[in-house]
Amino acid sequence: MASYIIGYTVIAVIILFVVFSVLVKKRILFGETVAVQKIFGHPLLHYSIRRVGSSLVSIALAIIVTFFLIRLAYPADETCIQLFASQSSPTSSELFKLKCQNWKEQMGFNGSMIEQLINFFYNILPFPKTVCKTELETIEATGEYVTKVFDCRNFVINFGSVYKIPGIANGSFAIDYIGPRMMTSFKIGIIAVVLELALGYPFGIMMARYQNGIFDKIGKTYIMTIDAIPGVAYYYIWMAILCGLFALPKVFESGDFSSWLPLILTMGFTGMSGIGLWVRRYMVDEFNADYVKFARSKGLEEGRIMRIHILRNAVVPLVRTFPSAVIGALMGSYYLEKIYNVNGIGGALLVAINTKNASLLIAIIIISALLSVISYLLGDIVTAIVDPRISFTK
Amino acid sequence: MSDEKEVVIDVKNLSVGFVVRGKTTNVIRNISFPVYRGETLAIVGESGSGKSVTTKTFTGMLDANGFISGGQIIFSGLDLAKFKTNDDWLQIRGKRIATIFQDPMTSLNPLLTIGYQISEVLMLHHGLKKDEAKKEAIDLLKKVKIPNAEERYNDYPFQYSGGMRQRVVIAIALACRPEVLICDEPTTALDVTVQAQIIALIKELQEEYKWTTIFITHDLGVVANVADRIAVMYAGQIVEYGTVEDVFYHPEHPYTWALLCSLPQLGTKEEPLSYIVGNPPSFASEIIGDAFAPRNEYAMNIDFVMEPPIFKVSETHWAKTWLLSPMAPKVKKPKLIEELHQRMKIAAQELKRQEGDLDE
Repeated sequence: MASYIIGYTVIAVIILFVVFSVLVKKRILFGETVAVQKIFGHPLLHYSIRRVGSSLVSIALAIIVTFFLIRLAYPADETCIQLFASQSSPTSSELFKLKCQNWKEQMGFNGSMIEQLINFFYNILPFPKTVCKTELETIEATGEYVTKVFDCRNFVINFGSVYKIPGIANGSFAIDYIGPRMMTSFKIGIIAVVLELALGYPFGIMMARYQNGIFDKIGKTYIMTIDAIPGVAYYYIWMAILCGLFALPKVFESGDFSSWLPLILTMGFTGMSGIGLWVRRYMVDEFNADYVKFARSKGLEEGRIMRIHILRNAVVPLVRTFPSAVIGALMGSYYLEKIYNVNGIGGALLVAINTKNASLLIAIIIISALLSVISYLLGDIVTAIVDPRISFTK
Repeated sequence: MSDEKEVVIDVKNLSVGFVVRGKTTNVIRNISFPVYRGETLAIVGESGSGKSVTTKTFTGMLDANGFISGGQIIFSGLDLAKFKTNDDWLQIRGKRIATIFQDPMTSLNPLLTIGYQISEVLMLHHGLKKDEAKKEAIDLLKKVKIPNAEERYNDYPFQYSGGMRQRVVIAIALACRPEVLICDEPTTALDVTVQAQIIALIKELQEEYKWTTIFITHDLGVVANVADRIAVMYAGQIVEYGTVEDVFYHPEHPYTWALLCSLPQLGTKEEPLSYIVGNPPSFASEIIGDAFAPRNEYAMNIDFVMEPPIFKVSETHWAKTWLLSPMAPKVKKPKLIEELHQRMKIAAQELKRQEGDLDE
């Protein structure tokens, strides 16, 4: 009950906030109050509202298309046979039909396509709902079958259940599959992001500062090497170095931080090359800017020119990538997680496809679409914050 | 006249080379000229003649592949041509010799406020505290006639027009309190109407702050307005040097003649506007003789063989042309040059009449 109250309150607050902001912006409410206008009528806020709104529309369209495609690709009856048909319960048997019916109900596969779609949207629209697992049970005495309802949970978004994944009980909630894996991937990824920023920026700055010097040449060679070698091969090279030379564990163990290192270092050193490349490129552009020459002719010392007039300006086009780097860490890395045997999210999409898990597949698609929308929006917002030339008014 | 004037920068036999694709080309070829304190020296010449490069050597701002290959630049007892490190230059740049560049649209950092970019200089050169610098910066903005200076202090360059930005650039130069101000084509990128305002502003401020101006331009029309002395540059050399009167009323070098003849303001409606045929020489191959000879209708045989020396016309005036040699035949200057005095009067009257029209 409490979770319902919290859930609905949060949704109500968000809707009220958006409606109120729009009304303020249109000057229907508080048209003359400067303070209110300043906060709720802020162009950045309304840009965000518009962006989120239009993104939600495109995500909804994408969901509809994917929904139908998946329904066409994985006919429910076929999956039913794979799941429940056996010698003791052939497809003609009562038990099979009941089991299949129960499963379809739980997975949202019964009724016409339109009914299924409406049902699906009901489940993913973010308001609280209670979802239970169900199972068909035989009552020994009578030989009748009854549906056992158990493990009821409150969800805001219900992505349905998964089945036929090795090591996962049939009928587990998809979110229980995705959530912990995403956390694992994120924990590794976020440290890697910090590392690649911490390495990439000084790397790029040093290359730009001593352009065409020895450090720059070594740096450029490193960047080219990473660009040229295919990812998988490159990951194995790092594995050879880190696990062979430095004897770090080859298998990821979440309790043992040394087993995190190969993953973090590989991601860090790879990401560093990309960041370094762009930092160098933007900084070299700035070196030749007229205002840098003017700053020098004003008599500013080189260190100050570097910090205030070159680095600051060079970073502006790069801040856009910060949010997507952080959010990207949520989606994991397929190859690396496979190589080091991490129970992460990186391989989940392939698992979903291989096991024909419609719910899992569409859940991953929706989550990654939402994350990319959010990271682009945040990218725009931070760019607007650091660059005074950007305004969101028409 | 020149004897009494104090020389602030004395350029002696200066040569500048650039390394391009492994080859060294001499872009400034052995030039000497004085810059007198409190005056305005205009350096004129077409693109690529070496005007900007010459002044860049005064602040050590040559591009990375450029170097001073010989000569001296004497500035208050120091030889700037000997300066090597950035630390050396920090004593000169901004503090004593400041520069205003051609394009105000790109001279200011787009991400920093106007106020910050002025205060930065005040704090650096005069050790002011932040709030003192702000006060001073607002005063400077008022000096360069920015309306609502207090409010516009926190604006960014993109909120300013081109002319306003050049005013800010001038304010920054003012903040430096330099002895010498180099104006590198400060009005080229501006509207004609704004050009006049900026030039007037520079002149006005020069009278107040008593600095020395080196004014680089390819527009002789602007020069007549601002300069005390003129140096005409061609192919990395100064071909004629003198006071404004010398160069405008008694030009001696055929290149100066050609420049004056191609001024549209001095033309009449009856005759077509004259222009200089051909292109300036390439620095890739060595220049033999007078660099202007191939484009010069007055060229003599010797011009193609031997570089002319400097011929003194008067105490303040010299030119580098064989025509001034006592052995040279007397040539008749172009008609326009002969009539220059008269033409200028007409042009001035025309200008006045136009301004009158505008006022009405």
